[in-house]
Amino acid sequence: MLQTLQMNVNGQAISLKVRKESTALQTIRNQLGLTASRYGCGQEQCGACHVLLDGQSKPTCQLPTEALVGRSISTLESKINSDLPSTPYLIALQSAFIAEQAAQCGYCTSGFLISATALLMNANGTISDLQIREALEPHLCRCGAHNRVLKAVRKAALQCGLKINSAEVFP
Amino acid sequence: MSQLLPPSVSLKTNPLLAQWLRFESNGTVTVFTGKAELGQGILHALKLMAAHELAVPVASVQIETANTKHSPDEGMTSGSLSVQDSGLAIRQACAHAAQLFKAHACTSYAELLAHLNPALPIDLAVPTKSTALNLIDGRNDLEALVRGEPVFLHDLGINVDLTPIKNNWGQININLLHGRMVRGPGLRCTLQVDGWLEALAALQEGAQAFRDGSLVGVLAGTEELAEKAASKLQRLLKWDVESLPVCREGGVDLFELAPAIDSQVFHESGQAIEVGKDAKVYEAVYFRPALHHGSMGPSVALAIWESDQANSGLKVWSHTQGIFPLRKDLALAFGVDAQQIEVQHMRGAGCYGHNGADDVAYDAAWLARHVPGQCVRVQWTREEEMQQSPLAPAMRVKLQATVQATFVSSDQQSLTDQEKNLMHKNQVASTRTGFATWQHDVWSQGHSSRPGRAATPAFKDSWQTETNFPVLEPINVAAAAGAGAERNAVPPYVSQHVKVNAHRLLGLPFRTSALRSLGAHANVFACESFMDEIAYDQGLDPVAFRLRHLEDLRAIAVIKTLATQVNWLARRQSMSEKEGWGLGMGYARYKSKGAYCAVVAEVEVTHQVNVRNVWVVADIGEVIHADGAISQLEGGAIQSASWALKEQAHWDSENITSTQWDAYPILRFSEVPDVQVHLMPGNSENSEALNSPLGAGEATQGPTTAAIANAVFHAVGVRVRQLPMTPDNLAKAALA
Repeated sequence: MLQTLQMNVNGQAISLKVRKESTALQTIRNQLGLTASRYGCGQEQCGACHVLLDGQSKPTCQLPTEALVGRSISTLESKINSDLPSTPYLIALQSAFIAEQAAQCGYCTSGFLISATALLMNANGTISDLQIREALEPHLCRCGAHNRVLKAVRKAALQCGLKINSAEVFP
Repeated sequence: MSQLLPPSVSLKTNPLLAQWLRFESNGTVTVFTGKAELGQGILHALKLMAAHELAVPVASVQIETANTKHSPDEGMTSGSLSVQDSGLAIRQACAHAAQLFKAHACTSYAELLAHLNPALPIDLAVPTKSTALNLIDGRNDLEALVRGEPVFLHDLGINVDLTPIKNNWGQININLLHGRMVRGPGLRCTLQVDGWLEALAALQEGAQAFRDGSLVGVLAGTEELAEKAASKLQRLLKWDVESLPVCREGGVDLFELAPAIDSQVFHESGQAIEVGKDAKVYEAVYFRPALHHGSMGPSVALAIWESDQANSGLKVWSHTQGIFPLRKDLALAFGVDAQQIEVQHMRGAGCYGHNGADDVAYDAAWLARHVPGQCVRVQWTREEEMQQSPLAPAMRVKLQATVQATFVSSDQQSLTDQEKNLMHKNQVASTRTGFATWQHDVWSQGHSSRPGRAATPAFKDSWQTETNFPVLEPINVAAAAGAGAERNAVPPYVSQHVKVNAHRLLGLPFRTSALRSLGAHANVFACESFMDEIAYDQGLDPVAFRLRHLEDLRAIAVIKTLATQVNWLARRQSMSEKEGWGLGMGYARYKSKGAYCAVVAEVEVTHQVNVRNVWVVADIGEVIHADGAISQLEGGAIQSASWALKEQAHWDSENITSTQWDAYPILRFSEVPDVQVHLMPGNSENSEALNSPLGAGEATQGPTTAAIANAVFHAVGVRVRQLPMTPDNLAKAALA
């Protein structure tokens, strides 16, 4: 059962034929070939499949493809599109991740970057260390790169001109 | 300065220069390794070592990903041995190449090409460059990772061009098919075949199903169709099932339920002596439940058979830990010559032991055999990864020790003033107690079900076929290879008599295998908790108590450095002013011959255990790439904290049920402690010579869990001997 859907992917309006049973993640990976978003659990419990959906970080592994209709989706591959409001934040985060060596296997890194991008681009001048932790809370990391990831997000936030409130670190 | 390296195992099996290095006409050097990138950054470390030894820029060295066609056979990438095995071999090869470069007055490594005899063995007498390498370049593979580039096997065939497959045997019409397996519950089960034809008839168009005995799988043109077909068959097919023993708390009863136990004396040293009346006997039992590997990316593989001929070639893409062992077992499973099989390694999600990589490679090859010339991709689900890949076995450890006041430990005289200062005042002044006896008993299933070791294949699904391959009983590798359940069961502390008994549980319906540090996790947790308990009972400071029973100077140095760094005595004292806070310590030398590692944990016990800070000091010998080693130690500490606080597998009467993250929670960002890592200098004994480099990947597993348990005791006076330290187990321990 193929149906034609319209959506905006990484700043580009597209129309594509998809199977009704496909999840948004399957469509994004297998049909659009955007493999930065990864399959980790299929239950919205690990965060590896997050994309920006109208500027918010959301899991896609259980989302029906139909739910993408008329919406703006940004994945890590959106970096090449400098018109997107998320791009400067994403680029700052990517350099900070490299500077802090904030990955071991890197399988879940895309998810971290998407949620961190949403946090920074939607912030209002100041973010707290606690907010960084909370933004990353939906994301699992089995390698134990957490502290480097937190440091990298902090670094990128400062680079993007945000202030950091360090009063609280743990919830 | 230069140094002669210790011999590498890998060099013995792969002695030729050409097995390790290829000089390219553009002057760059290609390095071959049999070790696999598992997310630990090993390829980067190997590349740095090669560039350093060859005296060329890092950019002039490339590493060829492991492939059975051209890589040296280095067995498994496991046991924190890659730097010792592959690293030392590559350094030796590069040192030899650098010498040839000089001898032939080359100006570029391209010129060496003409001078090289492919049968030239590596000259082991050539000294390597030495002086602590401590290379600082960051991992250059991270760039592709943070860009989300399709570097994982999970992306192959989707975003990655399949040209390598096309070129493999010339003209092959590539048609990527997606496969899914259909299984009954448990370790092994029998398909009720009378339902098979009916199930087949119900399949939708575009999907094919295959069966061999009780092994069932489907193929379709898209993942969605394959999933749909698999779930349809899953609903329709019925199985005769072997039931699982009742699961209480991650397998706390398995030791009573095992059909058989193979008990052996693993180690005995010193003289069994008669203890005096003043001796004090200690005894405690500790438990670590069965754990999941919990790799973040469920396993995946691609496979293609060249033809339908009996001797057809097979190519498999896998994120296995051992391309050659996988090839061996694929050959056994399909009855083909190993030479006909090519296994290409490609990066998967972080791997911490025997996960589903080998099993899914078998699945892909089995399905692909039904469609020769077509490439099959099998992607496991999260549920399959948790249910089908091996568990880390549940372990029970019983410790018994006798402390005798009249016994003078041999290390007492050698104490420096500084050491004495670090010790508790009372202790130095009054007694000279020591261990007269120490007995460690460990009960566990075997810690290895890896491929490549038996006469029949190790893949779980291969046991379901008509061929009726036997279910393999998990084994423990030999002591020389670091042992399995017995790893780190021999205490590092001086005792007049030491005995270690290992009890391997046999015949349980669980496939158990290697998880990061194997038995060392439970053994060190037990040993270090026990030391803490005895120190407390004797009214001694636990750090000072350890120091007085250690003889190894590097062990002593690691613990003393850590105590100084955390300001141990003062910080521990200060904890009493903060309700629920505590500080604890754990130490081990991994495998009793690897990296030295001491850990201090600071916890805040509320309704649960919160680990706030972790400090790690490690002596890993010569430091190759400090940040890489620190990253491994830090990640290991966080993973160990997750095991210690949250993790335990569970099952019902038929199947493993901890199949999703909500049923098997692991540490999340809000719970992760801050971790500080300090590396000792490579010549920690203040000698001129460097100590051999040691792997860092598994050293923190045992000490971190122990440090947390000891910190909990310090915080609230509750001794948790049963992991994980959940609110339930904490409450239970408080009432005990």
